Amino acid sequence: VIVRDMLSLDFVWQTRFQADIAHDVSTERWLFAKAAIILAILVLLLFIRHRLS
Amino acid sequence: MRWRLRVALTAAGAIGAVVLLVLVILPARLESVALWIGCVLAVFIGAMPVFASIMQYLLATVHGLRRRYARLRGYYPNTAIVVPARNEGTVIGATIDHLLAMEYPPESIRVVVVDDASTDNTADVVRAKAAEYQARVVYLRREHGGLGKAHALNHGIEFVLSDSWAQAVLLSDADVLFEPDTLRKLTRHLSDPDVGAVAAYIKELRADTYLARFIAFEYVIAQAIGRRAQNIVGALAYVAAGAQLYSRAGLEAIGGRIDTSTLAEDAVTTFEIQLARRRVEFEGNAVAWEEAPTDLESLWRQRLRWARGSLQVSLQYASIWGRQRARFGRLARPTFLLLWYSGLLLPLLMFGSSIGLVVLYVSNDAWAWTAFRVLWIWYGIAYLFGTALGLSFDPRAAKRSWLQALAYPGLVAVAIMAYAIAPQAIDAGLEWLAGRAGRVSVWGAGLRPVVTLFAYSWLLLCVPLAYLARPASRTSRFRWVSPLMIYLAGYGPFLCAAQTASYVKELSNATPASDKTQKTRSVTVGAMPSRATSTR
Repeated sequence: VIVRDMLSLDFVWQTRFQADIAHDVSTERWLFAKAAIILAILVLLLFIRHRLS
Repeated sequence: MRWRLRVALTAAGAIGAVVLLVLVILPARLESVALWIGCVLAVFIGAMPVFASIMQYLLATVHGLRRRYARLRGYYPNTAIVVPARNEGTVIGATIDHLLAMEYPPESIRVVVVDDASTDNTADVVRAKAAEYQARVVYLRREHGGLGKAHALNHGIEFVLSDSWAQAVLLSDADVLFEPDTLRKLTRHLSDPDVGAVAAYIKELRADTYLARFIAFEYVIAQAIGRRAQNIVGALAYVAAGAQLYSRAGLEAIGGRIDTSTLAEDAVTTFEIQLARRRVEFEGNAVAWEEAPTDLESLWRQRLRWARGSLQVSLQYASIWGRQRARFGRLARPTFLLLWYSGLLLPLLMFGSSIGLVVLYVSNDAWAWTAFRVLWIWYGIAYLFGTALGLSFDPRAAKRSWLQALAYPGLVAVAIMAYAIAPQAIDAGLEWLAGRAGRVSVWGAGLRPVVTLFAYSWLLLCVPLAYLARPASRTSRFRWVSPLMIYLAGYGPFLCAAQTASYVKELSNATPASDKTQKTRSVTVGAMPSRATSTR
């Protein structure tokens, strides 16, 4: 029964859905990390400029 | 609709007249102070798009923390893909093959091609595909076509909704190519019955010219960043025309038709879906590829049409500011209105800002200098944040379009930002250069005020200068100047010129040009840069 379920189309598509979600969640988190780093660098640059002037 | 624009312009003129009258009545001393304050206000109201951009970038940053995916489930509804085709014989066959090859349950996809009175071999190609794929390809023909894409789409939608098979409808174009996983990444959002439509991330396929690379980066800013920000706001302005997925219930809630009354049918449909209390989602990981206009002339026509469409939509939904505000739900949120109107009014705000600076320069140089620096430092922050974010959000686009990303607002504007951020260093550098050329006195006495005035008025000058790239591109003698002008004056100001022209066209009620954008029609599956080239 397990093998039959695993070979069913529904199982295949649900597996693809899970894989998509895992991939996209990690992509979105990675984008957040990059954006947060950019924001931090920008704030640091502004702070340095403020201290220099 | 035209009378509303006239009322708006008359109101703006009346406000201007009252301001002038007040200035004339006031005593001389107060008159100056009122003038200065008015100018400073004009400068900072003109900076509204800068603050809107920064807000958009911050919202896109936190998009990664949204827990939207946790609430989704695998959902593969029967989906009818409606493709309008007018003389698309060269690409439509490959497009049908490609659509049916997407990784999606094969029994749940149908392609409905609406032949909009084509005069080429579109009919033969689609009929051959219908014979090959049996019930999975449907050929419809409009004998009296040429009324526009929206009419052709409605023909297809009417057919699709005439029986109960389709649970979702994907509206596409004959030259749009999808990644294999795009459709299923879109349909999963429809597992939430509150969602009425889903937008894909449309990317520029042929980034082989300087213009295509500018457009590629523009799409990153407008979609990968802009629409993620709108996801956070909870209201979307557009579902991009080339890849828009609707739930059947969503389409039926707006009468089973898309708008044909404006030039921005995608915006009206998106607004209407949201007015019908359904959400619209942007899915940045569902990618579709399309070919953008190949030259400045067709880009101009396309953007003029889009800008006129936006203006028409704003006038159509002007009651968002009135007593019916509650009806608009999330569309009436201040954040969404700030994003929408800062784009729509961009030329007016830029002109106001620049005129404010120039008048201040004549009347109060010290205030002008301070206002200039504050304004352009914020421009600089928005530029650095937006460029870095754009390049990091789409590394593939970054690889191809990094130069265009840097030059997006124009190299002159970048120089002015640098001057506003570090004036002493740049002054010293320019003095050193003038000294080497033996012209120190010229820089100090005459050139510096000229350069300052030029910098103050740049927001006013960049738009017509960027526009001049268009007539230059049409001549054989000065064609080479055209890219140079776009790099110097900016691609953003070129789009702003189209927005300015849209005011004039809409006011004069000019007949819009053909809605078919000139493309090479050479988009093929093989041209796709990623794994989307997989075959059936």
